[in-house]
Amino acid sequence: MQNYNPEIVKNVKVIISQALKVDESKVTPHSSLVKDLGAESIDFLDIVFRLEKTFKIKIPKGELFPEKLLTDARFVKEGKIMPAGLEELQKKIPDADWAEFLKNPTIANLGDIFTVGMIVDYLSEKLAPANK
Amino acid sequence: MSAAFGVDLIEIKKARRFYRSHKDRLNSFFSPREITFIHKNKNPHENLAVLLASKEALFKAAPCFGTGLAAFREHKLMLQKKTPAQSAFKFSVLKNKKYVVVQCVGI
Repeated sequence: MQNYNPEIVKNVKVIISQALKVDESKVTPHSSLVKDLGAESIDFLDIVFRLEKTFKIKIPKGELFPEKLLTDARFVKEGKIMPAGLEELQKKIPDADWAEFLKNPTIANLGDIFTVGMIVDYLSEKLAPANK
Repeated sequence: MSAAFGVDLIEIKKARRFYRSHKDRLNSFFSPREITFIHKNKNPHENLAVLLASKEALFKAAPCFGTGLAAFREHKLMLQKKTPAQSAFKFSVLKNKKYVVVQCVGI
């Protein structure tokens, strides 16, 4: 596991636990936002806004959660993610647990891929110049 | 050709909390028309819930259309980039004290 900035980890845990009304102890890097923590559609937007406010950054649509990719007809067909889409997703979220998802790569199951660690990774990269 | 169908549900309590926390940031996600729609209701969080549930229901019915939506008029959704294909959806909204449910069906 990467050496995350502990401030980033701490703030993300607080944000997720507040947004999803779950105990902080349940928010671990491997926790899936949907499967483990019960996130719904509105929660993803809530989390993005809270992250922007806390870290004083702008998160363009589709940068954290790949919604643009999912609306591209080249990558998605009848709710199923095509090989080209899987390739793009795996580039974007390389550390996700893809083995399970690949058994049934549908948009409906994609929420299981989004973990707390993914958010920490994203922020660590986005804030990297500021962390130096 | 298979029928397109999507449904989404949002808890009104959650939508109220979301609105209170983020009402100053709505313009970073929603279009001006969507924001106008949200504020048409004396309880703006209810229209916010309807809008979000509609985006999600449409996305589930037809993922390629994503979230390029504009404001409601009555129970029909007007899409920002309207094409004959995108017009072929009917939305039904159900609301009670606890939830907003939106159903989107390809017609």
